[in-house]
Amino acid sequence: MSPSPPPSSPPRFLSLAAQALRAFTLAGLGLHFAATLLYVMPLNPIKAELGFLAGATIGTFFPQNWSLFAPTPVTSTQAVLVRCLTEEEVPRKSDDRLPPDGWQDISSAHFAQAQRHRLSAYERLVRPLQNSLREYLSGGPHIYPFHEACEKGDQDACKRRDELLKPARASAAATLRRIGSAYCREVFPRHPTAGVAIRYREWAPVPWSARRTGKPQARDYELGVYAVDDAVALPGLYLAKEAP
Amino acid sequence: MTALRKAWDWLALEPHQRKGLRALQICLGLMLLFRASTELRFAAYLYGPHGIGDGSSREFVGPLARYLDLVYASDASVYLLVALMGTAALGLVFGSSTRLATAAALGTFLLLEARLPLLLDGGDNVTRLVLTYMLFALPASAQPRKGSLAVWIHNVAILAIGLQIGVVYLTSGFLKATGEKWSNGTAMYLISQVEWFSHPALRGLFKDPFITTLASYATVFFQIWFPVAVLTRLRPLWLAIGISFHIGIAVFMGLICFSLAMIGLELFLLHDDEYERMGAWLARRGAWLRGRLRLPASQPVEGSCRV
Repeated sequence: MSPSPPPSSPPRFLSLAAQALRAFTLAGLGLHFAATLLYVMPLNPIKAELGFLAGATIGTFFPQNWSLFAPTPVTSTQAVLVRCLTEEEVPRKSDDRLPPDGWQDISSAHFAQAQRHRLSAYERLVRPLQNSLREYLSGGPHIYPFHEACEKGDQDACKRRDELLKPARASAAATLRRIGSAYCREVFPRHPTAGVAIRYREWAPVPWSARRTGKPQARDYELGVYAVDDAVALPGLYLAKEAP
Repeated sequence: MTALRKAWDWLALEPHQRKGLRALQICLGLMLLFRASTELRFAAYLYGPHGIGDGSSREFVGPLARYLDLVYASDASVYLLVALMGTAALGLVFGSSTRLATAAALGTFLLLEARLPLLLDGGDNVTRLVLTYMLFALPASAQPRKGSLAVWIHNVAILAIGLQIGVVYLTSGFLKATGEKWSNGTAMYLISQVEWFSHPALRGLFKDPFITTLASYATVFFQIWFPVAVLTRLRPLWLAIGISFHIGIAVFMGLICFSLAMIGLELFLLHDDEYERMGAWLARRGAWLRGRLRLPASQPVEGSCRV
């Protein structure tokens, strides 16, 4: 029996193609991370020139945001309050007042449970609520540069910011309405609610100089009254009560 | 040999970070398992046809969304989607069919993200990116031929994960350094007052001027230097600080998924030989401990007799 022939080396063109492919992947990696840096860094002269490229590539396929508590950390506690409204309580005219009592702070209920049970779903379940609220208030990170420019007096930036805020607010309000509706339908299963009023409460931070004696001051802002979404799925999270 | 040649050989000859990659797979698997186990009960509420999320996969698949979005059309299919993410996570944790598990984890993750992007944080963001790079890494059990194309692609994926970690730390540190609250040292005090990201037990601690200033400055210093420190002999120290820092974030800020993802990325950066040295050290300590606890090998039992 003759010995088997030694394994032949691949043809030269295949070896060259493999080397070219290697160089190509390395160049691709370099370009990818150059675009990534351009995308994540604050506005600078290079970004002003080439930022659109990073937006079209990284922004579309590898979106990322690493401004984790930076440059300005979150400093105030923001909460969503819900009031489930009966048919009679739903305001008919713009100057009709909302009931002063019966408001439920659903954000704080989640915060308290999340602090007690770290390995639970509460922290994640509060995010749609909190992030909708943030989106409603600021429109999301893509609008931040327009906020900044507007604050510095750029009227075009103010106009553009207001244009961009409209759809962001509509989308956030739709989510808040669904969350509020789910809450009302689950808490008052025997008393059908017709509307859900949403309120935003902010506890401003106590300044460092007053840290020993100061108490956070709360301010409320109305975010609107919405018709209850009768189809929204219930979370199975809230305890039923008798009446709003 | 030139530095360029050395770098080329590093990429071409042997697959790197095999053990670090396993640690990363385990941490991301645990993170996704945590998500699946806590979200499964609420899947219909979060992602279902009548849930609070109303997003579409159009963002990343374009016209194909017509078919992919069918997964959101019934409660049963969204429960299945979350359960599938949990199954893929188990594959990552136990190292079985890791490439398939990575693909399944990424696919389900993208579909859930598209449905309700408001649910996500930085940990989810980095997980999505890293799972994408991990698709090109060698499966846990693979034994590739030295110098093969598979080795090269694996090492490029390893490099991509490493560079992504650098981008996360560099950007986050750089942006903090430009922030007034970080530079005046009150950032940690202010964050500790926010209910969502704090624990009442720690609130008093950050009212101390030394603790809050040092913690604020140390965070910025640690993050900015991270990409440089991990390339030097300071790597084990920097990674140990990073892991402790993220355990603190999990416990006191409650960001479990973010912390698990970041701890996985820090463990990824340990070299294979560092894992081997650590394993040998643990084995020596284990043997020493067993030796200390063991009773003498044969003591005659009182009252027994030998035949």
